[in-house]
Amino acid sequence: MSKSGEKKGDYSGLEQDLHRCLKCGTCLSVCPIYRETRLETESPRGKLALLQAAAEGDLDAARKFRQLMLFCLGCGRCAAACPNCVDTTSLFYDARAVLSGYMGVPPVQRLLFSTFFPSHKLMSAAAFFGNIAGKISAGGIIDMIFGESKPALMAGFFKSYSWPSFMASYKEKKSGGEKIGFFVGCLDNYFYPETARNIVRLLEEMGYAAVVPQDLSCCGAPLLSLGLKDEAKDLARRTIAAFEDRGVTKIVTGCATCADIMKHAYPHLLGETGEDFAENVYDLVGFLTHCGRPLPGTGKIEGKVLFHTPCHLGQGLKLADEAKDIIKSVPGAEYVEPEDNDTCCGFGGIFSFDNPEFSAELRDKRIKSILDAAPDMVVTACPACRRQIDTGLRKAGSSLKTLHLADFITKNISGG
Amino acid sequence: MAEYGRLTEEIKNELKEIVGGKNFHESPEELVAYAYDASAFRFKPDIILRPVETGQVSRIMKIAYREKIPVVPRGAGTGLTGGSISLKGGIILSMTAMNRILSVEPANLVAVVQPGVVTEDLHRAVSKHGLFYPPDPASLKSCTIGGNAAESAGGPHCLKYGVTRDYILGLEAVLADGTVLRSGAKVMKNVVGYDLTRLLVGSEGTLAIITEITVKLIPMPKSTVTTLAYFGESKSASEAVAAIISKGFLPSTLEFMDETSIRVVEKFTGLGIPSEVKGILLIETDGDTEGAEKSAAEIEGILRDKGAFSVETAEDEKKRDKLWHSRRSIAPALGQAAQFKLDEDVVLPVSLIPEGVSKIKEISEKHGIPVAIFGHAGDGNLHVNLLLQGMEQKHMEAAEAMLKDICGYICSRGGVISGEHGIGFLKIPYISMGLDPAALSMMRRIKNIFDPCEILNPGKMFPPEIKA
Ligand SMILES: Cc1cc2nc3c(=O)[nH]c(=O)nc-3n(C[C@H](O)[C@H](O)[C@H](O)COP(=O)(O)OP(=O)(O)OC[C@H]3O[C@@H](n4cnc5c(N)ncnc54)[C@H](O)[C@@H]3O)c2cc1C
Ligand code: SF4
Ligand code: SF4
Repeated sequence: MSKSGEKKGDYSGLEQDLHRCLKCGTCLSVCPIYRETRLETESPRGKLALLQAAAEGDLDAARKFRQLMLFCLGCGRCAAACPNCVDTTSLFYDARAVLSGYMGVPPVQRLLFSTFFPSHKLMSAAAFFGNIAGKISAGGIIDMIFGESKPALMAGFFKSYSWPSFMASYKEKKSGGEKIGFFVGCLDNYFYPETARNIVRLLEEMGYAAVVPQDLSCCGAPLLSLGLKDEAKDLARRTIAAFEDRGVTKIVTGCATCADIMKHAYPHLLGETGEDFAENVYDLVGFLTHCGRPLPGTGKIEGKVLFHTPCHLGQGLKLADEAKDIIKSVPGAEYVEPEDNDTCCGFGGIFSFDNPEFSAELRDKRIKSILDAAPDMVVTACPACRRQIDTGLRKAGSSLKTLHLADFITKNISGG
Repeated sequence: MAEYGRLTEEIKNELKEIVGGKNFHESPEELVAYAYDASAFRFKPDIILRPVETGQVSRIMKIAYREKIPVVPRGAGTGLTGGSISLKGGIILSMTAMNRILSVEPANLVAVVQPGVVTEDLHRAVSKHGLFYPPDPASLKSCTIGGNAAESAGGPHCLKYGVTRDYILGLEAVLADGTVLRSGAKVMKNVVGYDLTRLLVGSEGTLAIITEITVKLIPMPKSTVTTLAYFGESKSASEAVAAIISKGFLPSTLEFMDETSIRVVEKFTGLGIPSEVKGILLIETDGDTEGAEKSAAEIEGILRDKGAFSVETAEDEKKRDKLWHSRRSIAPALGQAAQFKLDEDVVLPVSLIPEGVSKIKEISEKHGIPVAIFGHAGDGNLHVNLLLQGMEQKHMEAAEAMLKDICGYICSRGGVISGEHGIGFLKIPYISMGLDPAALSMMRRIKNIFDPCEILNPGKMFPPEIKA
């Protein structure tokens, strides 16, 4: 960010992009928050108006302003729906960057997300202690770390993480074939190592060689959410460097959020360097759709399958139909589509820790629509959605299983 | 000019007690967010109230009436003429919390809804019963039925099926002094007394606050055929519109795009519309499958006759959607093409559409401001978009002069200056051009009876200097 942008509450740098918003209100209809609250102040259009007022010096952008700007799932629906191509996602990230400049970020959060999350080694240690802390007391340490955020959920997160993580147990094979970089992402690494292994297995079954850089963990999404743009830039540079000179043709991740951030935020952060990298980034759905190789295995899966479209997959990467097509292509799988299937699980990263009740409300709505469709399994393509949906299903007393697309496909291999 | 009272802390507390703290808003942030609508003009209110039931609306109005506080009802704020902006401060009455569909009654072919229901949600709810609520403003995913009723919104379907006004059978509304009034009934015929329902529909929040709406439904047509036709001349496309109607066809949609609209869409979306295309018609026929197909085939004959060099039809949803793509891209593309655009939605008798298109182009050339003309031409409604290269005084003055010419022309040919978007405050300068003086004066008197203290949406619809 430019030096002038660091001045207290100077939003004037955003003015030009804000002017693109014609206040047509199209984005209201897609925003999961506005659809619940019907409050203009909490709508994407309202947020842009607040930014505009702040940029024009008509609004003292302080506590309530900050609260409203952070009351956003970052789901990208508004940007995808805007007929006038207002890049709300980047505007909101930039706004948070200005905000963090003068309103600050709780120091422990800053440390956690800018130092620990990006590093697999440090994260392992943090997760280990967090796990113990979570098990001992759901408050305590985590309360300290997350400040204003509600600690219990975060504690819940650490409590259920899987040991050892994927990275800790992974040994790179020296197999031949086109090399594909695998960006594991923090959640699959710590919570769903089996899924990460299945992604590698899938790649190998398809004749590729997986390349997994060590000591990469976070894509930068939480940093952007907190407004730590400079730190996010550093992290983006590190991620790009980790894949340099490894001979990989593409980079794949099983997390739709990571893919969306690398594909769309990195260019915004780093310009051309980010663009060059982004071009070769794929989430698993996009990769399977565009790689030109057939899916392995012909085994059958019996049952009704529902695909939950992660916001970053459907809105950011625009791959909702492709994901469903993959599922439909699996023999035996009967695809079921609930009414209003394009709903957010309500997680939204840091959003869910700051607004646990609201997040749970959105989640439970989603769960209801899933249960109404009576599937035999739920498949998704983002570990965060998966956790959120799993939690919701358990709360609703359902024993329904949630799988990652990679688990679903490799299950098919073993079934065959 | 009416004198307004001050919203003292005491009055605010009284109002807060009615709606509860959660639905009472006055922070600087909230005032910013409720200062605009889709006209993008801005005036801040003093407070925002979100009633959840008619009783609350009535109690709010009683206080506003007693204290002479302006009240502006607001739906989703997608209005294009500044209708839900509070020009004189006071209260924004946000109706979005009253958003329940109270009943869908297939046996009576009606639905009863609260005003904050989003139009698309009503469409969805009734379609589950095989029923159809035809009014389809392009903003239907966001706008509210209350806003539609207050503007008598229309859309492509209105050529065949009529506008919002034609689908409202009854209303509950709160008058300026807090009295709750019910008009109409759940019946298709009703000649008992004056038709107050029709008076309140289209009244833009200047006569009463609409709190419940009974809408008429019809059976959902079984199938729809979409036809997209390319013409080498804008003129032949507009002539085809007049020809289709005069030959006795009533398509469910008949949309027109002129050359400028097409070029702008192509520039900003790269849809691949060939450069020789200078006019586009998008037509839909509906009904039972056979009828829809037969009409489409006959209309194709007319299109070819009038010089269409490419005609494409589609019946399944995905393909139909594709044919709609260029039409749907116009508004956003125009947004990018100009620094600022003014969207006028004039209406002419259908037979005059070809003349109107040429004449408006002439006026545009005379004033040196490009226009894109498109719209629901089948019902005579043309969206005339002035593409301005700035918002400064000189641009606005030039635009105003041009609008005067356009409105003058439209009125001289028996047309009207707004078919859908209403007057709000943006079109006030032109209202007296298009209205018979006796009618305008009667309207003022009606306004006076409904709202003697001018607290309901003040500054809208009527030019202030003309007083009855
Ligand atoms: C992209 C876009 C496309 C559009 N396309 C169309 C179109 O195709 N056809 C069309 O007709 N219009 C169209 N419009 C205009 C607009 O959407 C309509 O006028 C719509 O009816 C407004 O509804 P709203 O809920 O947003 O009302 P608002 O904009 O909030 O209010 C509109 C008017 O209604 C009054 N009002 C609202 N609720 C009530 C109530 N409960 N009681 C009394 N008065 C009330 C307000 O005071 C105001 O005067 C479009 C607008 C946009 C931005
Ligand atoms: S859809 Fe785009 S232009 Fe319309 S209000 Fe939202 S951000 Fe603004
Ligand atoms: S990103 Fe999602 S939650 Fe945030 S304003 Fe846009 S639509 Fe709403």
